[in-house]
Amino acid sequence: MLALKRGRRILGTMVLGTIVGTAAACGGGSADSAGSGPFVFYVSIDTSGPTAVLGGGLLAGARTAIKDINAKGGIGGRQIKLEVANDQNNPTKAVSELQRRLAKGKPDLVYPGGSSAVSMSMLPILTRDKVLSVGATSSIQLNDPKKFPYHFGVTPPSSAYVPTFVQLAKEKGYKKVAMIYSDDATGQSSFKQYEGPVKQAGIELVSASYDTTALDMTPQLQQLRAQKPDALIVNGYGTAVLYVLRGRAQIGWTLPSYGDQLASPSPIAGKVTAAQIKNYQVIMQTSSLVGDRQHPGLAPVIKEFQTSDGAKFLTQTGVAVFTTTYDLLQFVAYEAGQEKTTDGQKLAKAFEKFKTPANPPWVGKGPNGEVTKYEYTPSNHFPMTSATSFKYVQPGTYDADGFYVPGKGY
Amino acid sequence: MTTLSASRENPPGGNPRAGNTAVPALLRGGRPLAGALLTILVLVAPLLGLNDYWARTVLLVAILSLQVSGLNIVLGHAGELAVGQVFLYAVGAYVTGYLGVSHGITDAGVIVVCAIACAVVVGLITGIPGLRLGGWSLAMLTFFLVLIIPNLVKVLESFTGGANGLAPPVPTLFGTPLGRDALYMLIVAVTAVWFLVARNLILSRHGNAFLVLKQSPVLAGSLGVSVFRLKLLVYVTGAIPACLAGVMFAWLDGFIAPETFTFTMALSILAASIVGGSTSIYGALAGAAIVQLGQQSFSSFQDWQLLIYGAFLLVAGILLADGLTGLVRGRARRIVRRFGVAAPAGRSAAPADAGPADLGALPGARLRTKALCKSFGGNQALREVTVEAEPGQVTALIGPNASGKTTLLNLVCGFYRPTSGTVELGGRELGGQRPYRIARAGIARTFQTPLIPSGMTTKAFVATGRYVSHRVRVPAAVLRLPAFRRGFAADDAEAVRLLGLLGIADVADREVDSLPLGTRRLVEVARALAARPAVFLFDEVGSGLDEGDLAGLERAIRMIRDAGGTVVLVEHNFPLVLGLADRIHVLSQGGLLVSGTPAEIQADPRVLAEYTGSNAAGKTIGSEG
Amino acid sequence: MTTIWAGLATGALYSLVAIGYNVVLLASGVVNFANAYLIMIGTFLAYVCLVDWGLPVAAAIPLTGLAVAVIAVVEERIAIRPLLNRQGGHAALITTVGVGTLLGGIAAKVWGTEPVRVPSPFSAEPLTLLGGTIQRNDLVLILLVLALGVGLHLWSRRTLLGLASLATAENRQAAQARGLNVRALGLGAFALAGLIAGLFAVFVAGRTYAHFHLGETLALFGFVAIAIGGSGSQLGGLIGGFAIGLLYAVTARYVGDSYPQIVVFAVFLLILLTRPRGLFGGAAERQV
Repeated sequence: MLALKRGRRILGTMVLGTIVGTAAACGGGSADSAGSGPFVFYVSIDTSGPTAVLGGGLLAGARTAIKDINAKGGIGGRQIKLEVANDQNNPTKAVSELQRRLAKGKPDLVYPGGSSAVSMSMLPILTRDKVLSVGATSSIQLNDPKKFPYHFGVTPPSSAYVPTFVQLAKEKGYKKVAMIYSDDATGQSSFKQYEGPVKQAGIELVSASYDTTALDMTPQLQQLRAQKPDALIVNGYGTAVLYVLRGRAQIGWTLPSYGDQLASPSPIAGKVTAAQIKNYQVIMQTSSLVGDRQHPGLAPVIKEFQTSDGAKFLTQTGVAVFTTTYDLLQFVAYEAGQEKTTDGQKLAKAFEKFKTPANPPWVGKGPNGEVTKYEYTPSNHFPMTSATSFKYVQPGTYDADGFYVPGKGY
Repeated sequence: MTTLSASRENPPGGNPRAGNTAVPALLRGGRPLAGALLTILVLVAPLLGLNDYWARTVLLVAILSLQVSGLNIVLGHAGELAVGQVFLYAVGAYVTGYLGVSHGITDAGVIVVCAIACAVVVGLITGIPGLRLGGWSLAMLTFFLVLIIPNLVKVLESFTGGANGLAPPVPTLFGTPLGRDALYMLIVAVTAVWFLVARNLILSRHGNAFLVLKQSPVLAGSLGVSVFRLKLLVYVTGAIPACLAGVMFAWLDGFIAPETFTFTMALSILAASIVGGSTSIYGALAGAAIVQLGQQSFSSFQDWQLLIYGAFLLVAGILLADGLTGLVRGRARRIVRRFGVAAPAGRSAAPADAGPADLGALPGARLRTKALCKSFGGNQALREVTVEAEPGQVTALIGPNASGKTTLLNLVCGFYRPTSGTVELGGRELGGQRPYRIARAGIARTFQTPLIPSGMTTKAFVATGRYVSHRVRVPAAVLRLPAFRRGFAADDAEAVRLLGLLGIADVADREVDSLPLGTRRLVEVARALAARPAVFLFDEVGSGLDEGDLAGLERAIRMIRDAGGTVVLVEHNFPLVLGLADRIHVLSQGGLLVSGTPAEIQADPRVLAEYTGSNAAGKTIGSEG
Repeated sequence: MTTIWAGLATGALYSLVAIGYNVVLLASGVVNFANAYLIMIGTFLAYVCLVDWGLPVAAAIPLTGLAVAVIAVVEERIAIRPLLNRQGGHAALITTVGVGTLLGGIAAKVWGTEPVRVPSPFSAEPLTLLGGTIQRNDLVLILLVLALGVGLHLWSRRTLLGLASLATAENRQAAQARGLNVRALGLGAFALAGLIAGLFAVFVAGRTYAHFHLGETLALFGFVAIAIGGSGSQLGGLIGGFAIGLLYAVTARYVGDSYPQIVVFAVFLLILLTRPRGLFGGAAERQV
């Protein structure tokens, strides 16, 4: 009985704490909003779910950039303030969190979630409130300047990876290609992006999808195998990639297999056997490969990453995830400096006529920022890339600097 | 929140000695007014400066509470664990999306009507197989429904947009697109209307019938209620708010994708229901608020979120196992007691306040079994029993344990099917019919162990006897039409009068499950009387009664007899039987031993042998009595 | 045949969870939602034993079993015991979900959110058997789960303790009145369920990897197995698990990937309408 009473008090405190905490978080405090005070960078990301590792890398990159930019006087004279919302990759939660922030005033810049579904749920609200957003989610539905005039992508759309595959398939003379993909929004959109170009190149495409909760993919692989394809494209992240590779080895199927943009960075080193990755290759942006020529500013920035809180993520996600947010902040700061404004709408207009300068302050896009160019147009809000920016390599792992080392770790 | 917690009483029924009723009467009077004021306050909150975040929170709570309300009706009131609210939620959302995207229908009224229609159809389709088979099947069936949502969405991609989701357009009302504030008010208003409907339904005889069903389907059947149909009514009613919630969600977020409709959401609904109190009407709101606020605030704990949410569920589940409203009610009761509003110390056995001791004429009829047999497996429980009970007479069935008395009663009531032989009421064959049909034909019974539901007052329980014979339809109850008010008042008056006849009018406003055993038996007699049946089957109604209660009982049985009713008494209490019965049938080992008047039976040596447990009869019998 | 083997191997996982549910359900009438999460924690503990401490498999398996049994006992103490004398049996569903979520959160916090490979005691070289290929680990898993299920089934029917647990599931009060120590029985059931979860964790991880999200998937499919097989029947849970594993694999292979769940649902309906208590559910209750 005593324990029960004590428990009740604990519960009471918890509930009260929750309510007070929520109230404090929403009601009080200074109203930081666009145009005055600190420059608020609002990041909606999963920090407790299956993709939390990516979130860790993105946040570490952002923090490093903020330290650097703030030391140099901030964006347009305003210090950057980072605000993180844990959306758990759930569109409904992301919208709730965003509304909570908007109630205090508009942030200056928003990173709208770690998956395309989350971005799709946030963008209508951000557009309505005319908030500038810059994201690394790659669904082509997001590249719609008419519908979302204030949203820009900073990583190549997933379709940018496809030409590299088509080129390779032609070289190898594949007649029929199979794809196994996750039956969710991300997997389906990846499949659609391969479908068009592959068929256009005169290559037949067969496919099978798996449920996101599946623990085994041999049936799907066998179904594909029965159709005798020449190569396999693998979509998925985390355990899904492991299950595909495991199943492939189990049925003794060693056809050439290629990870897509999602499967490729998935950390599999140390979790697969040599037999399981036989003939499996991953696609990488050349700028994230070890030994590639890099921007002269990158090495010192990596040193910064290595001393930050998120250092442990560097070897898990690679430096490219860090530079995604690092570079986007540097880019926004640079533009704000050029245009002498921090106003979201004016910045959005300016982005649409941007030309990469000779020696850009962003460090992860090649020596002169030429690998991924933030060169937007009024009809295209995703960056420019070329097929040569990507390369199929042996699966490997990231070195201490976060560069991908093909073949390392097996 | 105290003023909001539910009681199953109508406002005017206040009783100053209400220490044991659901909620102190003091708090009861102002409740509808307070509810209306609160609703209006919430409704206009955006105009008073409620910011977008809190407005959205209010709406999310409202939406969750609709789902919880759906679950509460099914789980808390009818005792069926059905976790399929999420499925109906998805149906509502996709109906909205489909109508809007494919047909350009955005009118809120049209969509709500369509959604309700879909809820009813889906409720019937999923409810009929699930309910036919009872508890576990329904739980599993509904669990499966939630599981297959993503697959159905994919298979029906042309309607649902598949994995990529669907973006329903902004709703309109009379052709005007709804802005944010208008949408807010619409959602709050729909929620308020639903809770009013739910309250009116639950605080009616229908709600009491749900509680009876939850306690015991056997009791429900013997009240003439078709258990299956009532369950279906409950289930379909519960489907409606869940479906409406889906509609609101689609309007609110403007984006629906299969990832939203998960089993995790079903668990949140269940958690909110339990935390708020499943049997409470407004507990749904409290539970939904706690769970929604919890989920919202815990997500800001970043990578501690899972840990904290898990701990929250654990602690809340343990401490609020009886629901928040249960906790509040308990506390309110204690406070009332402390302020000297004494609980009744004991009841005055006062047949004086019995009112006019008049039952009017009862439509008695002759009950007759012919060569009735029943065997369970190879075990012959009843062999060729032919007995009769005449109207205007008390017929007693006696016999030692396992002599087949209760088996005979269960056969008459339809709980067992006869292996052979017939049961006739007034010349009409009843054998093999379902219990509720037999009850409707005019047979009422009491139970060896009184079947007493929890969560209602004695007079409400007695009035359930009139549920079938004096039926008030659901729409009348929901809309509180005059027919409902008349029926409610008549039921109450009749219940109090019958309790008075039995000398226990003073327990009318007490919680019926707080009564001692003896009183429960009398309450059961009153409940049987309320149906005004032709035949009364009293199963050991005298055991456990004290002198005063026994006197009341005897008086009542005589009254029934004098009013022309057919009374069948199954009793161990030999003196009681001798004093009351006009005719006695003695059963032994599944067969009829002898029939006769009390004097004949008393003199019969075989009966004596059976009852005194003389050596000849073996050592089987006669321990009670 | 390879598809059949794959189905059986996945089915073994579902059966294992269903068996764990049933052990507790039979003895104390509680649906222990956290059971699948116990297996998940077990996979991580096996990783700790095998990799962090470098123990041999023969030591790691019993150690993991014991550790998970202890966790299960703690769960019973904090999540079930306080509810024993309360009304309303559904609170246990919430508290066990709470424990499951908590375990998931702990796993994510301690071992991260990326899958972890637990070294398998068997070679990864697939085996060719009856015309199909199967991983050695999976074959062992199938055989062990089969043995466990049948063994528990016989045990619950033939031994005194097993019958006592059946009696408790049937009617708690009556069992208590006959002098059965219901509490000890309940605690024992949790310990047993935890022990099973821990002992099998190495083999489970050999198939699924250790991942903090594993509990959720397994929990759901364990329920599906019970729905098909009938609650409270060890044999039913066992066969239910294997049956859905096979159904999923065969449908995914030959019909299409959106349909497995729907096919399983159809089979469930079929069983529901022909055998209302599940394939192996107990006899119908008496009414009065």
